[in-house]
Amino acid sequence: MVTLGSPDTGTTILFFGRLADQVGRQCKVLLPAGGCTIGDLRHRLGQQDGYAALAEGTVLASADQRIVPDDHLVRSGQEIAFFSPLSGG
Amino acid sequence: MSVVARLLAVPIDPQAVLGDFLVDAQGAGAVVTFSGLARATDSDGGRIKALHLDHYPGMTEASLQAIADEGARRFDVSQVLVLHRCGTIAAGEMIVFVAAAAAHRRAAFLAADFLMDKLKTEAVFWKKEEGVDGSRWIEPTDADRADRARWSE
Repeated sequence: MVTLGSPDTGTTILFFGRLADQVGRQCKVLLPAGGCTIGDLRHRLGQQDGYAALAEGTVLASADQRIVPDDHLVRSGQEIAFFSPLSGG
Repeated sequence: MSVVARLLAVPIDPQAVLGDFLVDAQGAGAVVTFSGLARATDSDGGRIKALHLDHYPGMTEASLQAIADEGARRFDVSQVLVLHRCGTIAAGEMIVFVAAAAAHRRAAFLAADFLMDKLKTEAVFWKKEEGVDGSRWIEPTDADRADRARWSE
C-alpha cells in the first residue's frame, strides 16, 4: 500500500517538466516496508486526488537519478522522481 | 584530452569562453564551435519572450558530462567543451555552447554535430516557451529523434 505522507514523514517523490505543473514539484509517500515497484507506486499515487497525470504513458521515472522501468523495485529512503519526456537543450 | 561539461544559471559569454578554449587548444589544427540561441518566435510565428529550462539538479549535470564524454570517446578530438544554461533564458540569449578541437577538421565537425544531436534528445531538461499569449511545454519531435538516430551504431 502506498499512501501520501505528511511533510515530515515518508519518502520524497520529485516531479519535473510539464508533469510538475500538473501535480506539483514534490510530495511525500509512505512506501511498504519491503518496497514496491515503480509501476505500483505510479499506479497507487495516480489514484490520489491531483495525481492522475502520473498515469500518462509517456511519464518516465528515475531512482537515485537513473531512469528505471516500471518493474524496478524502490525502497524507502531512495531518491525517486517522475517526469515528462526529456525535451533536451 | 580535456572534456568539460558545465550547467550554468547565468548568461554564457561566448567570446570569453572561445578565447579560453583556443588557448587550451594550442597544437590542434581545427576548432569547431556551435552556439544555440533562444528563438524569438515559435513554430507558428508567435512571439516568444523567454525559454524556461527545468532541470533535475545532479542528474542534469551528469547527463551533460556523459554526453561530452561519449563525444570525446567516439571521435578523434583533443578537447571538448559543453556549456548549457538552465532556468529562464531571454529570447536571443545563448542556451548552449559546444566546442570541439582536433588535429583535423572532420573529427571536430563530427564531434560538434554529434554532441548537439545528443544534447537535444538526451540531456535532462524540460523546455517551456514563454510567449506573449501564455506558455507551452516543448516535447521532443520526430526530427529530433531522427537526428539522434543518425549516430546509432
